[in-house]
Amino acid sequence: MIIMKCLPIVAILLFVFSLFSKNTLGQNAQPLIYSFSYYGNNLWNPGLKAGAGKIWKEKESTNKKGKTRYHQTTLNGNLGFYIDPASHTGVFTDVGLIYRKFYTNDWFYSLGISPVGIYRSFLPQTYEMDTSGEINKVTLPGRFYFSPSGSLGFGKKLKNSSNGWFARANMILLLPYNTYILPLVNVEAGYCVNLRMK
Amino acid sequence: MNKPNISLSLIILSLGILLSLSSCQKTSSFTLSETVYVRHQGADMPAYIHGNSEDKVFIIVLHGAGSFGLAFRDGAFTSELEKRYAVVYWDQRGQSMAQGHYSKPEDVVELMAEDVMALVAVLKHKYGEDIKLFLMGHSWGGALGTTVLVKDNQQFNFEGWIAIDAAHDFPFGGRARRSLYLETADEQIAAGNLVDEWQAFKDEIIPLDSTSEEDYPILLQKAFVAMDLLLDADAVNHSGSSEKVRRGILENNPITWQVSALLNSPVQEAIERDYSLSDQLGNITIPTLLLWGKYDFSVPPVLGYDALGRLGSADKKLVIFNRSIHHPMDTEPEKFGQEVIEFVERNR
Repeated sequence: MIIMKCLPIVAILLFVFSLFSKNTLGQNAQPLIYSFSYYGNNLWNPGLKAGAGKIWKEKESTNKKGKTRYHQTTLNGNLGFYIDPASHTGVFTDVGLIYRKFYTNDWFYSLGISPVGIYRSFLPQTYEMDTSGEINKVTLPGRFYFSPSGSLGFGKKLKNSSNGWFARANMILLLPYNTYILPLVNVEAGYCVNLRMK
Repeated sequence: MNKPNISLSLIILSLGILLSLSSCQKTSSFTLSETVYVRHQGADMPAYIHGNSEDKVFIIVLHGAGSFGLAFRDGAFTSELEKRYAVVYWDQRGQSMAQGHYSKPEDVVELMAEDVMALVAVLKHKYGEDIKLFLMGHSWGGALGTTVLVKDNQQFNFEGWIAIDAAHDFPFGGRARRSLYLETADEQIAAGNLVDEWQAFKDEIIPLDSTSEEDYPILLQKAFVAMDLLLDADAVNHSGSSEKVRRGILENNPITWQVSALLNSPVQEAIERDYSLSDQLGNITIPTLLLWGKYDFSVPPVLGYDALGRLGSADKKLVIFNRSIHHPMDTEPEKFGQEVIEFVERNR
């Protein structure tokens, strides 16, 4: 399976990506938020996801008890994959918004929506029967699907650091899938770099 | 570069390499363990092929409604059949892990029968024209298999047909269900098993009309009550298997499986169309083995007797599993394995 052979390359790209994440920004630039996570399709089909987010809006508010809340909305781009060992590998990318609300103890919750996404399945060896009855091996077998997604999560910024960890439940809708639609339920657990500079 | 970034990078690198290594599979020259997808008319359908290909005997398994190919990979399939033959566990169009893009077909049953023939062509292309194929269908898969066999001369691609609780006539099955409930209630009452419960059950069934569209779903639902009573009285074997659960959850995405079954239900179309192949069974002349659970309220065994009478095959046999409901392969796996092996060995 081609994607299996590509996995080390993907891993190396992510490795290099994360190594240079700090060094590509100018001194005064608003740093991008990078996230890296374990991505579990249906919990146990393993995968990885990486994302970068740019702050679109941020503000602080004070509630009736006088506690300060920090609100952050980022424009995000994500790239990830998972492996369902028995049947396929899924690779996906999407763009969207993530809203985070931070509490004074540095915990936060997040809501995300990615209205635009593309998902590509990669299948094992696949043979096609054409209209004349001939059998041909399919090159790079799999399908593209439009894949909007949404997520709900929580996390915590680390002490004396701008970084933090997070966990998210995520749902991707694949369409058109067969004759209709297919929801994929996933979980993420990962690490955010430059999560909150303030 | 700070420490967390280096740690994270190493974790990512290690995970990628581990995942890559885990995808490798070891197989001997005759031991098959592979997944092959068949692309046909907009659908990509997985065939999970496991077992021994030394004698080039392949058994294609057509699953029932709402089920999936790997659901069968348990009991006699793993302990007996895979040791001798290659078993092809197939996810049908729109079911379980089958994917693709296509409009809802006008005649989904016909299209699914063509899918099976595409699978046959792929298997011959991959493993050789000289492979010996047996077709096995359970419940809805029995209707699909029968559809394949009565089309043109497709039956001659197969050395034999193994029909397990096969639904070749949906209206007949619906009508027969009520009679089986009453016969079973009388039998259990006579045997002194849960007499009050069976009598109450019988009283609920008597007013229902087996030809009424309104009563059809009620009669179908009553199967669960009857099954529970039989299990409580230890009149049938339990079919629970941790291996089956493991395969259902870990080797098969349960969400994808359930959503696909909900949105793509060929059996519903067959019921609405009063799908029946009874009149065409005489055209089937290849050796046929009919396997039926005595208490199958979904596809009553009277359909098995009907098929036995109608089939044009010279070599045909009906085996009733006396301690089974709808899944004799799970509830009486030893007997199931023996019957299938004897049939295959006789006709390969």
